[in-house]
Amino acid sequence: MLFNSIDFAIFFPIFFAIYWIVAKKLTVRNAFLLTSSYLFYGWWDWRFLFLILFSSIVDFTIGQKIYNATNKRVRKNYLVVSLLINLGLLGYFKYFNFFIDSFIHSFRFFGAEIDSFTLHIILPVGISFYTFQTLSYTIDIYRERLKPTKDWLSFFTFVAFFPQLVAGPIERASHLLPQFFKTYKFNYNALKSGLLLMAFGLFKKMVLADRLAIVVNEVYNNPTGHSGQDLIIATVFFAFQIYCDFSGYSDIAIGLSRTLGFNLMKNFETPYFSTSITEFWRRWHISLSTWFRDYVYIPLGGSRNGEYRTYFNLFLVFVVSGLWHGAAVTFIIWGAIHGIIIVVEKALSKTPLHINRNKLFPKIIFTAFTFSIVCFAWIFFRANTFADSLYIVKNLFNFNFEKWSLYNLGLPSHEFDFAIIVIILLLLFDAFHRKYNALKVMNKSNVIVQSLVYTIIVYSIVIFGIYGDNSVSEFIYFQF
Amino acid sequence: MMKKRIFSIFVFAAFLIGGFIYLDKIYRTKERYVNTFEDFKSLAEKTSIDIVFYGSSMSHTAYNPLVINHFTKAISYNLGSDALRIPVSELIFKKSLEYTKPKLIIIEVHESSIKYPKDDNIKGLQLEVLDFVSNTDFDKIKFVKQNYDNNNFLSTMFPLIRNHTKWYDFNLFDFDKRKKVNTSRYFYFGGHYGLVNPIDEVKYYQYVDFENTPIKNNNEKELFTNKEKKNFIKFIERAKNLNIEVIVVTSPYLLARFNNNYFFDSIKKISDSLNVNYINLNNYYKDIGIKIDDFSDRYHLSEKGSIKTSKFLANYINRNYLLEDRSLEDHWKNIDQVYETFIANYGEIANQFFKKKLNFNLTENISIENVKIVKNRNKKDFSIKLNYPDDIKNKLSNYKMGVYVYPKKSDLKKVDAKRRESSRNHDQADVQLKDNMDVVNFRINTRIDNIKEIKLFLYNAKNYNGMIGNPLIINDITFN
Repeated sequence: MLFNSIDFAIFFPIFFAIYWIVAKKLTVRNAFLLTSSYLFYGWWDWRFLFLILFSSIVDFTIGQKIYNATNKRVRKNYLVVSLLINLGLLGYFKYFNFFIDSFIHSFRFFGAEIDSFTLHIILPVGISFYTFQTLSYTIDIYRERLKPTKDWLSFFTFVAFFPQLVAGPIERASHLLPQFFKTYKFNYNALKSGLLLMAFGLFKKMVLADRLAIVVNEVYNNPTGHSGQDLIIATVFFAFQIYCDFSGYSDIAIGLSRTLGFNLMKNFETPYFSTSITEFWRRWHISLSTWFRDYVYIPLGGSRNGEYRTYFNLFLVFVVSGLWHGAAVTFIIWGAIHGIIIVVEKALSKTPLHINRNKLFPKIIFTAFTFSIVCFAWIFFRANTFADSLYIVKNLFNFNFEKWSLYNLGLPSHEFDFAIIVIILLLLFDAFHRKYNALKVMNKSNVIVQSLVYTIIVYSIVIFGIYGDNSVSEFIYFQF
Repeated sequence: MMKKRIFSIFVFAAFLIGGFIYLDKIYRTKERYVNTFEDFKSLAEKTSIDIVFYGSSMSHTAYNPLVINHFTKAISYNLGSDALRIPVSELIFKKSLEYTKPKLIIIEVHESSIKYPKDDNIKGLQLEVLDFVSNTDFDKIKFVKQNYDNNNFLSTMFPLIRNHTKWYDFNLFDFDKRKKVNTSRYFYFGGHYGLVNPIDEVKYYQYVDFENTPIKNNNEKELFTNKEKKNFIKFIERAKNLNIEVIVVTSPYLLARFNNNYFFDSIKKISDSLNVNYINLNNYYKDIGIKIDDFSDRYHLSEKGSIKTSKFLANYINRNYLLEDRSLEDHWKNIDQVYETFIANYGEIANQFFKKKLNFNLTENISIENVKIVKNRNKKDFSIKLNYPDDIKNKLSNYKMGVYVYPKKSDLKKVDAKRRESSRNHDQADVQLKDNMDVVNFRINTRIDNIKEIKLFLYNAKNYNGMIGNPLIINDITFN
């Protein structure tokens, strides 16, 4: 079920009403949440439910086993089982065909031919997200940072919690799981701010992301048919498309949880105002980058084993992060680019070449420079094939203005101009929010102003939103 | 605190609901039916309406309330709309009862109007009328659910959702949704949209023998399902239960005898079983005096045909129903004054025409078979049938046709002012021929009515080097 769908528009009010009726009784509430979450998830494909149920049972059981085991080796073995099962499932559903293809291609490179076979495997929605979420549970228990719960209902609900199940934020068990052990009273302010956040998320997704997607799809589905300026425009548009799509989803997830009394972690913090790639990753998909930091980078040694090992660890983490995003070479390259830049920044930070980026002029330059690098990397993220990505990179500056128009990229002039205006407004809003916290400012204004602003947001979505018979409706990160 | 919250919820709800009502009105497109229904309401406020027509375009083009009123001495109105299906006609009948209860309703039916809409275009046309029916009407909801995709439910019910993609086309202050009537195509009165132009040349010759075509009866299957039949019966019964008389009518149309005719028999059977009169006007061509020129196309009468048909139907009503004589009332008199003006100007509306069979060789290979000129106020519509061998088919685009219209002395001043200034005493047009063209259709804007001579000739489309071949000169043109 998509958040921007009629099905959800019908589901949510009914769910919300019943939720607050049963909210006072913990078991009943969690049971209702779990059922609703399974209903939400099963809406895509009921077969997916077996997988999430299996994952929940495995990690719930293994969590207990790890905690109860006194022998360190036994604890480690249980952890390895959890890792193997979770990553095995992820590997099978997401990477099986990719590895087979890569294996066959590498044999072909040496002149040998192997019959190719790929399986028709449906990728369960959100598997990358909930797998990491449950792994954080077993890993934290192993590290003795968390005690396992005996309350299977709370645990299963934590795994399947529908607001963040399919596209994050990837919550830590230590942060989210305890919230299922408490009941919450209805809070009007939480409802208000939650609904506002949901509306804002829908605005970003439906008004901007889906609109920009039209241009991005037009160019990226046929890069050879477009000149350099088109490729640049589409790439920049993609940067905003993926930001609005993904942060929009996160806003909806966080806002929705807030209306229910739950608190999810922030996932985006105005990332395109970053002055370095290092800073970018502190602001972009925060839940994933911190997960990789805590569960991959630090176990690899982090920065504890010397400079070069640190660089290697950083690079590897980003390559793996790329692979997490998708089973294709282009995602690995995307991750590698970020990895290389991060390593370079880390190396430069220790040299006299390091510049103070807090002053206005360097800030602007470095923000623009960082944005350009991020956009460059997005080429690999978005391109349909490796060949396409190479073509785009080679032809980025191959301009041709003969019989060219900005308005031949899939969007008519008024729509294109509107998209540009909204991008500018979004950047201004992000800049404002970065400094002043827009929600606090809103809450201080009078009732009429607040109501007017909320009404404008709602009707902006209704009027300017891309919905109906439209292929761009699904959130980008669902494919992960 | 509680009071403040209730107040803020109330203010927000007020903005939201008010905003929706306002935007739903703004986002309605300008449609002809807005004119129809607004004028209906306006008339119903002033006086009672005795006769109301329902049905498709074959109703609103065929039955002119001016003529009906004049001959029945009653007050009538036409609530027909393009491609309207019986269930929607019934819905608008229900709605119209809120404003007036007629003594007699006339339901126009033909093969398509009984059926549910299948085509997207036809489904769209139902919405023009459905927008006037309340969204809380259960029958409307049922009809929409049965005939439109679930995904399009909201857009079917609310113009705001339906038209939101064209947000740039709407003026936020424009509440006037009346569509400007194109008087060169339509004569509008009381919901009647009379078609000003007569049938085109191609169809003219194709159907010229329509009266003598034997009726086809080669299909024993009923042309509608049981459900569709029930809708029709339900409509009639609803009217009868309110003591409203019903006439079921099929308007004259050219395809009546070319299509299967078990339909008419089926309608007759149903009407008889319900004790209502059914009159298939296709059985009365001679009585009505219908000729080929009384049609505008295969399905619709021209205004000339509408006048004859309305008069015939009015006399039928007088013979079979007892309606109050309202000719002494001011409202009736006011409407009948419009009738007098309409008939006095009939010559302009009746589309006088000139026709001549020729077989004149413009060049060795290209000849003119016949010429037809329709007088349409300040425009003259030409239809010139060409004859040429196959090898010339793809060479016609090499030619342009020059057309000179010379006035008689009395109309010399009607020649276009700029031409008179350059001492030319004729109006003219230059028409680019197209490959494979059989009939050259074009329009000359000329005020010349008394034509002395028309000259037609061909010349080279790329460069004028004088005329090619022979000019056709037609003298003493009289419009009938």
